[in-house]
Amino acid sequence: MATRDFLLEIGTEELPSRFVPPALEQLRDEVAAALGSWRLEFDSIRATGTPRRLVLLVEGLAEKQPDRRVEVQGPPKQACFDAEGRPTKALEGFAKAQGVDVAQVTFAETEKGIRATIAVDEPGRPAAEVLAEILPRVALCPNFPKTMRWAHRKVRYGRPIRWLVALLGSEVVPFAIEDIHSGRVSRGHRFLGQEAVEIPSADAYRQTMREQYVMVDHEERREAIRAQVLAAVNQAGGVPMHLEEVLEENLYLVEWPTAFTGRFSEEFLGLPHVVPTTVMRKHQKYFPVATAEGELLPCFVAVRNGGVEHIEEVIRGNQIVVHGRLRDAVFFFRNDLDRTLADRAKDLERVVFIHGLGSLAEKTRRVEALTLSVARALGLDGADAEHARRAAELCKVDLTTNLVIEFTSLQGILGGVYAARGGESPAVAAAIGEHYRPASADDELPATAAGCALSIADKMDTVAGVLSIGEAPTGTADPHGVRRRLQGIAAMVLRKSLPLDIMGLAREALAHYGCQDTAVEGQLADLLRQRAEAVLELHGIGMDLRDAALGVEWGRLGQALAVARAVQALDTEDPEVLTAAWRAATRPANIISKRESDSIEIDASLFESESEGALLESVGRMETVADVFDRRVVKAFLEERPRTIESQALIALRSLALEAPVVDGFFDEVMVMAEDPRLRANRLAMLYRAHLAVTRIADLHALRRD
Amino acid sequence: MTFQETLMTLHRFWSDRGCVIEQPYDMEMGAGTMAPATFIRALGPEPYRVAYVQPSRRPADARYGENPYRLARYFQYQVILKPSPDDVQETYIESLAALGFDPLKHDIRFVEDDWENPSLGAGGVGWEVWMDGMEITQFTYFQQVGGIEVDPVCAEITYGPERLVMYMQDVDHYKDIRWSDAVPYGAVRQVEEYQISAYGFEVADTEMLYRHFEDYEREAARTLEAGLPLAAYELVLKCSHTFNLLDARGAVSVSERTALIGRVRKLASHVARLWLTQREEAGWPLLALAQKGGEA
Repeated sequence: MATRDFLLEIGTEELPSRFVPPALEQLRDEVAAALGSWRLEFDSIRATGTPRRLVLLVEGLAEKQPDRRVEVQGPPKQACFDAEGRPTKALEGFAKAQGVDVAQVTFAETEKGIRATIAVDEPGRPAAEVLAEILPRVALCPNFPKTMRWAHRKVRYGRPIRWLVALLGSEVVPFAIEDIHSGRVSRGHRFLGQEAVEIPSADAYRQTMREQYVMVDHEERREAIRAQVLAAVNQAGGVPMHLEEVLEENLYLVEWPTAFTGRFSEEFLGLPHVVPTTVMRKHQKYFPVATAEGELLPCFVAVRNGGVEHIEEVIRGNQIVVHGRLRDAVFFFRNDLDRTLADRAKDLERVVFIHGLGSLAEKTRRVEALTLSVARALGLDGADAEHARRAAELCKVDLTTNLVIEFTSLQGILGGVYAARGGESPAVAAAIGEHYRPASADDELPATAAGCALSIADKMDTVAGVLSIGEAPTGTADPHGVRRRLQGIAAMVLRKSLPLDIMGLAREALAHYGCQDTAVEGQLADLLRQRAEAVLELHGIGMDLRDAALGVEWGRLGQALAVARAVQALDTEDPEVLTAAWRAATRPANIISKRESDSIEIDASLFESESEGALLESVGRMETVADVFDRRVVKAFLEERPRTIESQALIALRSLALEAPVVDGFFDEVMVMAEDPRLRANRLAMLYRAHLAVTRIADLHALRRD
Repeated sequence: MTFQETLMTLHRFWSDRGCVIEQPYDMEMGAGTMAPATFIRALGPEPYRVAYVQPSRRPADARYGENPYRLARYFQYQVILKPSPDDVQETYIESLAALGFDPLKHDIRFVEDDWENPSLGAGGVGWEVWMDGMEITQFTYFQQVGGIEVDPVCAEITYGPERLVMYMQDVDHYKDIRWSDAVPYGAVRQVEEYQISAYGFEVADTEMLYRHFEDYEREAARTLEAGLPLAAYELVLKCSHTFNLLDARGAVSVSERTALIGRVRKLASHVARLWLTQREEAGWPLLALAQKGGEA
């Protein structure tokens, strides 16, 4: 069948670069789905774009739908003929509507009984007609993060739509969005190209645009930028920093990229390097340049939206901007260094933490106390605990410095720099520097134990405070970042296998706010549980296994990720061993809800069969397995070898599996729910102890197995 | 091109494109947006085109005249085009060319930057315009003003003339800008910068300012009751500037800040609603004028 290429170009004013990739994806999916449902075949479909155009190219699109014969259903048979067997009005009407004689109507069994049917030849609709119908909806399908209106128009879009090109082969597919009509006239590069560019046909689009200084294809543009940046950086004698991140930032800011190198004065290298690199990469979207050894160089590579002509003037302007910003930063930095963090600490009295939660000075006192609690739980000794405490005392002071007021994203990091400059020990400076980590799900965790203790304490204090004034997150609204902070805490506890009673810490944090409301505590526990699940999910732990690993006391949260990994490993290596361990755990777990007390007293004189004695011995072994596991968990943490917990959990699971025959034997021979309440209680107590021992490792019965 | 020629060139340029050339509003305010020619005219269906220079007061940006870029009182060149024309970006770029910036010799970009003014309940969507990496203009399609969704939407173009001229004249301190051929910017304004910085940071009487804030607030409410939204709006501007002075003085805590801004916003949105009611009652005079112009 004859095919043609199809082009849709939605011309806009400059879209925010972050809007473009998801919009392209949605556009492609929408068109592919629409063509599919209209039975229009095509060879390939591709969405691509620049800041000023969302482009969709369909290659080898069938010119029309295939013809088909369809059975049109009419009235039920009993309504088609009257008592005398003559066709009714209903039948005649049906036949007439389909343009056939009553005699041509046949009857067929359908879902709704026997009905009149007429076979109708349906000619395929031309693609152009279908496209004209679907394009208004398709063009508006992108779901932008934020939309706007312009002039008198009602339509909302990421930025104003200025033109529409829709070509099937060389023919315009007419459609309109309000008063904006499709045609074949596109626009070239804003400055290098022409204002009106006729596109002769869909397949000539890319080449036509290239002549207009528009590199339409984003993959091509990405590689062009990468090659140019690498060449420029190489010539500057260094390597690019943050290459991929800055590359993506620039990709949808330019239609015709040209990289260039600018310089700044070496005096600015006296700033903490994170300041110039932030100015370059965040504010200006430049590539900072470092030596192969990671030393920052006083230059940058940037990408212009244009050609090489007059590039000197562009370089001059960009250098002026960097110079101005860094000169301000130096001024702030020098002023900030006039007073050490310790000198500034009292300024925190004047700074509000969160409305209704007092000053930052008060927050600092709470965080200090919580940090000491965490440090104690983590077994930090005298000097380490003191470093953590000192870091807590100073961690918020950088919020009063000019440089942090100017570069908010560098809070903490600059605090670490100022602490070191002010003569604090490297451990204190490091802990301050990393206490906002992890800032997101893919951010690094604090590397030092003191930093980790401080980070947990700081986050828990904020969470407790926010929940205590009833500002818990709702739906997608979480203005104080409660979920993010709890996920940070969960990530640290889980990934570093911290032996920390996290809900105990939460209660302590709430108590600092005078909050003893168990409802708030429950809310915090629920949120924490959700975030712990999110962390496990990020590590590829399935839903049942998440429930199993988290089905332990809060104090054991730290082992959950390692245990979950051990279960996964065992499931791969020896699935039947895992099943045995699961059985040993599940059979007791299934019945203990029937117990009448939490007693774990066992009276061997009440045993009636050997399998009871065998179970008691088995329970003893399970408890030993759990004890050994507990000791190894603590030891592994102190030696900073979290992977050992996984292997210890594996050993525990294998040991547990060995008890399966004993447990099975018990259930086969003994009637747990005996008539005699003393026998019943004795048996349930044994099973309960088995359950308690197993759930120190994981709540295995949450797994689903056959 | 001198500083004054730059302003005159923009006046000529936008006058040729059908703008009313307004004079600066004679009250202290933080930005050109706050002048009634923007805040008031952006509301409702009446078309309007206006351009003006607005001295803008930012007490917190005061640097005793020393900082090369930051000033307690600087200028904004403000253009409002309502409804937003379809070729508004192209026209804006022509205005840069009129100032002598050949777009082919520079790297001009529209970089996402939405704008919001919480005191005015106003917000919009747009860009900061970069020339060779430098922010030279804020470009906004207003979506809301005084808490009211605007229809039609206007385009707001706010140039930073000091920035533009520093770049044009290749000077790296505002005081070296040639205001006229004979007189530099510093000679015109530096002493004043020093004095208003010192006043704002050291002298301003915060108790008096608090009192004035409350007086202006009450007066604005009374004036609204008297059915005089434009007069009330002047008192809203007084509130806003008084708040800025308090803020610069470090006299406002974070929580109070939100509350005070909320109080100004409440008045501003009241002004907006009352203005719209009155204009509707008057039959949207500028709409009628435009329609008559269209017929003629």
